[in-house]
Formats: sequence, structure tokens, C-alpha cells
Amino acid sequence: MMNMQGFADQIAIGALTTLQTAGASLVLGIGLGLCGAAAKRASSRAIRSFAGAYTTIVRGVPELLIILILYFGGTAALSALFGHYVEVDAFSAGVFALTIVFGAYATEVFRAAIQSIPAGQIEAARALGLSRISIWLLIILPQMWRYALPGLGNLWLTLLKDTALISVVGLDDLMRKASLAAGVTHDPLTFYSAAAFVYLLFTSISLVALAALERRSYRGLRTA
Amino acid sequence: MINQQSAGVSHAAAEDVQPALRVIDLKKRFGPVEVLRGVSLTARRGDVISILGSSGSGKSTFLRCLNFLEAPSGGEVWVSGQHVRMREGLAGQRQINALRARLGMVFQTFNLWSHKTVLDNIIEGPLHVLGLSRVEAIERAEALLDKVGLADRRNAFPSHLSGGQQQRIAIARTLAMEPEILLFDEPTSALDPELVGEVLKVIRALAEEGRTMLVVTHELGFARQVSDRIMFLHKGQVEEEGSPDTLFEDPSSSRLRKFLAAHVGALRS
Repeated sequence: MMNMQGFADQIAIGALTTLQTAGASLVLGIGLGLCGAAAKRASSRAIRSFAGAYTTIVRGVPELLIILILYFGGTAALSALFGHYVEVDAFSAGVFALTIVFGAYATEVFRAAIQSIPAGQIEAARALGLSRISIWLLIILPQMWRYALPGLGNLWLTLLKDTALISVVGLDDLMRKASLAAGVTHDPLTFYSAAAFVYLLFTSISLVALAALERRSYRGLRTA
Repeated sequence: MINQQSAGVSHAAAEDVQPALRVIDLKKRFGPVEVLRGVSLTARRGDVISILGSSGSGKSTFLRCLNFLEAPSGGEVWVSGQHVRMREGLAGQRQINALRARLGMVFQTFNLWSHKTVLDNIIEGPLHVLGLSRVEAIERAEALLDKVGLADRRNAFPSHLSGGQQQRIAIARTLAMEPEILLFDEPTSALDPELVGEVLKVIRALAEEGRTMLVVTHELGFARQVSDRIMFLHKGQVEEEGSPDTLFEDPSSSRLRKFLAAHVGALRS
């Protein structure tokens, strides 16, 4: 067992912050991704173009840059709004930035997933007189998970690891705690290895959970 | 017929005045292509009308326009005497949804929802469109499953059923809305030949119940047996219309003669 030299608590707190950041970004990002996918199917051309611009820009710029731009841009915007300097806390800024990033990729995953639902099933729902909202709730959402889960799983793994980027704006996450401990003890290998181990633990648990979810989502299909 | 008249004179008279469906000059274009060039049709209550035509004649588009899966480009539609206004926006959408519940559509490819059991496929419409309670909807679904002979498959998922069984479930799903008019869009064309019979049997039973039905089909023998009238479409227009016997025995249009010869030839070969 590694000698954590009294920093085990700090690493644990950092790991918890990482999970909270990733979890909050996941929930908000899925919401944003669903809105994005709905916007890409909208009948209004303006809404479709807006959604298209969003996914194109966000997916085309490095995540680290987006985090920095949103952090400093957000600080500047809020300061201008309130007329004095406003400090944005790193957690909110981080969740906001990761949500924007996750939402853009999730939009594309959901859009493709919706397209994988046989068009006839949506047509049959329309033909029965079901409203747009009912069709989303009864036919589209329950079925798109099946097609979205593998892509969404990948995005979640990326998101978990991308939380490490938030440490550059001062979030006390796993990465930052490991880096602090490494600096104090002059033993970087131990603490970076410990951090890597924790990330790996989280992603491994995620993979097991995802496999279970995927099996469940194929209920009712012959391939199950 | 005599029984129906004695059942209630005023009711019967009202029905005679208002045909179940009246379509005048329905048009549909996709960009530069005119798929329907003005098709008119009147179906009285209880009429079974088969719509024949080669592919590209517009017969499926005609059905799809009737329940607004395609927005018609022009023409007038009355359902039980009620004029359907083709309005834009939310009010238009509400009216269309209300109309769709009255015109039941059965598709070539069944289009059952693959993530729902047979029973759930049937009850969703009554629950969410008609506002039935769960108990009422299930009761209705069970009666319909009995009727199409699949009561034992209520908890199966569609992918575990044969094509013929899926189509019978799809018919039950449509019937659960208690539509005034049934629209069948080539209901047996996607089926293996040995499964066609079980579906035609269900459709025939519905015809015998006195339901108003429009059937787009390639099953000429079936069309001749069950139809009160037959409409032959060619390039988006009604080429010939009349009783089955007249159309099959003594077609006046050369195109219909060719169409019948080709299909009878195909049957014999």
C-alpha cells in the first residue's frame, strides 16, 4: 500500500469534488443535450441554425480553452453586470463549462439516437393522434436511450477526466489535491499514481454500471 | 339493410345525409412533382372501398393525406359532415390530432413500438388521446386481442411475433381508438405469402361488421370479394371507379385492363 503521508483525507475530499463536478455536469449536460437534439429537429430554421452553431463551435475548440474563456468571460460579464468585481467560484464555473461541452457532444449523440428509431414508429404515434409531447415521452425518450447509451457512456468517461482541467481555475478536485500533495511532499509519483488509481476506479465502476444499463435497455429486442 | 332502417329512421336518415368521408379535389405536390392531381371520393357509412393502382399512382399518398401524415396541397375534406380546415399553428395541430383519432391508419410495416409490450402498444392511444382510465383501456385492449386471436400474446414484445401477428396487433391498436373510418395502407405487402391469409381474415371480418374502410391493396382477389367499390388511380388521378364486378369483368380504361392483366398474369405464373 502506498504511503499517503497524511494526505489521504485531502485526496478523498478531492475525489468527492471530482465526482460532484462530473455528476452535476452530467445531469445538466444531458438536459442541455436533449434540448439541443430537440432544437435540431425543430421546424424553425433559426432554431436549427442556432443549435448547429452551438455544437460546431463547442466541439471545434479545445475544452481547456472553453473552460478558460467561460471562466474569465463569465467573471468579466458578471462584474460588468453588477458594476464591481465578482469572483466566480471554481465549482460553478467548472460545472457551467463542462455542461456546455458535454451538452454539445450529447446533442449529437441524441440526434443520432433519435434517427435510429424507425421513422414508422413515430409516424404511427402521430397517426393515432398523440401530441408532440406525448410522442417524446412515450416513444422517443424511452427508445433513444438504447441507441444513446454507448455514446453517452464514452462522453461520461471523458467528462470524469475533463474535471481535471477545472483545477487550472482553482477547483479543489482530485487533480489539484494530488498536485498540492506532490508539491508539499516532493513525492509526485506517489500522489499522481494515487490520483490515476482513483480516476481508474471511478471509470471502471462506470463501465460496469453502463454495461448493466445497456443490457436493460435492450429489453424487448430479439438480440437481447 | 331492412333491420337498420327499422332501428331508427331519423338516425339512419341523418347518416344518409352525411357521408362518413367526403373528399373533393385532393391535391398533393412534393416540390415540382404532382403526386395527386385532384382526387375526389365519397364513402358512405359502412362502405368498403379498395384503392388500386401501380406504384407511383399516388394511392398511398392519398391515404396519408387523409390523416395529415402528409399535408395536402389543396382540396377539401369532410369527416361525417364536419369540414376539416387546414390551418397552420397550434390550433391547426390540435384539430389534426383530433381528426387523426377518428381516422384509423394501418401501415404496411406495422410500426409497432418495439420497446412496449403488445398490451402497452394497444392502450397508449386510448390512455393519452382519448383519456380513458387504465382499467378501461386494458379492458378494451383485451377484447380486441380476443378479436384478432392473440389474447395469449398480450405480454409479448413485437419482435417476438411473426409479421402477421404484428399486423393483427397493429390493427387492434388502431381499433382501440374506435375510429369512424379505417385506412389500410397495403396491410399485407410486407408479409410472407403464408402470413397474408390471417391478416386478410381479420380485415374481412371488419368489413363484414359494417365498418367504413379504405383499403390500398395489391390483393386483387380480396379487393373484389370485400369491396363495395373500387377506385383505380393512375398518376394521381382517378382513372376508373365503380363496382368490383364492373371493374374486374368489364373495365373501360385500357390502363386498368393492362394493370389487371399484369396482376392476373403474375398470379398465374
